[in-house]
Amino acid sequence: MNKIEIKHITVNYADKGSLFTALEDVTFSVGAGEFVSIIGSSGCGKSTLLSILEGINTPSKGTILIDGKPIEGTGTDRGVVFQQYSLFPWMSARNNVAFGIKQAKKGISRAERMKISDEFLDKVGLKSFKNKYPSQLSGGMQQRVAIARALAMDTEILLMDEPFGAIDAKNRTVLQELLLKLWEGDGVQDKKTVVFVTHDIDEAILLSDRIVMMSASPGKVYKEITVPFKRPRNRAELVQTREYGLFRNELISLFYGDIINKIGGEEVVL
Amino acid sequence: MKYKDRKFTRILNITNILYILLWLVQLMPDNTVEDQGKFTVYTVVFMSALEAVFIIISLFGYKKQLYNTAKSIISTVFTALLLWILATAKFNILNESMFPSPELVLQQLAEDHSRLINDALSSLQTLAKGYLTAVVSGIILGSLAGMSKKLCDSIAYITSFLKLIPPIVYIPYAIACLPYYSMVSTFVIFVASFWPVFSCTFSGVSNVDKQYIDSANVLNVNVISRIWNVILPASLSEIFIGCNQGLAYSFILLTSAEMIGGSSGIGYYIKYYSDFGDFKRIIVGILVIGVIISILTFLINKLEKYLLRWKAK
Ligand SMILES: Nc1ncnc2c1ncn2[C@@H]1O[C@H](COP(=O)(O)OP(=O)(O)OP(=O)(O)O)[C@@H](O)[C@H]1O
Ligand SMILES: [Mg+2]
Repeated sequence: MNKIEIKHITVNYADKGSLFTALEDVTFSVGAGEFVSIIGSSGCGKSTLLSILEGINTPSKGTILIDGKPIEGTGTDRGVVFQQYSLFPWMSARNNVAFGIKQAKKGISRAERMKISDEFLDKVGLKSFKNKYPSQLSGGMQQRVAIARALAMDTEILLMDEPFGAIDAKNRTVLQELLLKLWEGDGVQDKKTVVFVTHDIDEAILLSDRIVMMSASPGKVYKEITVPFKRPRNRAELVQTREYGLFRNELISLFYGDIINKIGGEEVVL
Repeated sequence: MKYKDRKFTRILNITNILYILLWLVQLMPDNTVEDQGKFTVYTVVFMSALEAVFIIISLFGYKKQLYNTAKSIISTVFTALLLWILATAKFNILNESMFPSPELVLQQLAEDHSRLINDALSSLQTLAKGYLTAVVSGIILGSLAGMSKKLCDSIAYITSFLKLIPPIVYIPYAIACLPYYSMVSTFVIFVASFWPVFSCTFSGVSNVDKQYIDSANVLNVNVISRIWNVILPASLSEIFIGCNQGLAYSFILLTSAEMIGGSSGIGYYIKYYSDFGDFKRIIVGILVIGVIISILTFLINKLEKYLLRWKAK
């Protein structure tokens, strides 16, 4: 069954009297427990689409169903990592995470919240920074706290907008593995459903079951591609296989092909 | 080596030098018509008490910040005292009857101390009632107004008009309407500090960064927690601007109200003795007000620093 169904979503932004169409008739669905990545050039409406899924923005046309029911605003079933990491600067790293946990799991005791918070900060490698305020952390560290918050909330759905964009290669790999581990769960619970925006094609291939490629002006779904590789995927081995290279090339030519089509074959500087 | 250096500067520094200078000045003969007292007991006690505080802090205060604050405050007081003594008792440059020497003023202060404490307490009570009511109601109403989108524009116009009216003009009106004069002072202080608190809270709350509101939304924060954990902290620095402004207005209004029609308080003390041309007591009153204002401002700044400790330096 489909966990999320996105049906004919159109989003217009008012811009000095005229309308700007950010998304036009976007339709696709995400299965329960599926990991879907969205890739597309900058400004094609990925964040806009996510803001609709998050419930903080309403579409001009179309509906979104979660578990078959149309969404009404935000919900505790969805954990969110924004593109602009958005911690509360007046709460320490630890309290930011604990605040998220408190919101997601009503009735949880303070001690329990703090324990889970510490656990997740440890997992994202920020154990010794737990009492720092966001202003005392680097951009990448703040983003890791935001990721820890979303993961610690343990929601059925995760909506992540370029979560690893500002993070160095080493930590990025650690966080990717962590995300996959939490997504798969402990076998008792159901898998989480993840919608993951990224610019990084390798990241999309390594992590996802399916990739939704978007094209710009206005934002539309250009292609949906299923990733053919078995899990668990061994990063080091996989990237050296011929299949991986071919698949990656195919994605890249699709991606650039779309841009060249759009501009009409002129030279593109990226 | 470093430690020794520090010890050395903790002995030979501006405050201690000023203290010695003050002693030397005491030894100079007086040059006044009026008797300034045989020996300047009060001045010596006062400056030595300050010096003692300073020495204790230099010896035991390992927090550098505390030491520096004490050094700058006490050396400023010593400098002022030094100039004051020289200008009055020693060289008699100023008009003797209008500018009494520190010795006479301190003597007066000691003589009137129980009265002054009562007056100061009465002023503080009036201030607390008016100011705290204004802060609490200003923050509550300002937040509510800031959160309701429809009201925004009209409230902005009304407040920008009302806050321009100098609250002192309400005094005659309040005298006519309110049964006790103490209520008049409280009321006027309330009006004076309400508008800055209200309008700063209003502007802070209505301009909370959308990013925080979005975060609160995706976390499904309920109304009360949203106000307490998100909106108020996000507008706290603006709220403090309003509270500081309100406090400054309160002092002006408090003393004015007491001078116009009060029967207690430091403003009344000054007004009462100025009718007799008693300049010693006028200066005592001014000094007491100055000290009270400084202490309150210091405390509110401490509170602000603490509550906004999360801000990037
Ligand atoms: N609040 C807004 N008002 C008006 N236009 C907007 C607004 N937010 C986004 N847009 C426009 O909508 C388009 C899509 O923006 P969006 O942020 O969704 O892009 P994106 O795919 O996330 O880009 P990036 O990869 O750079 O993050 C852009 O052209 C942008 O200018
Ligand atoms: Mg974006």
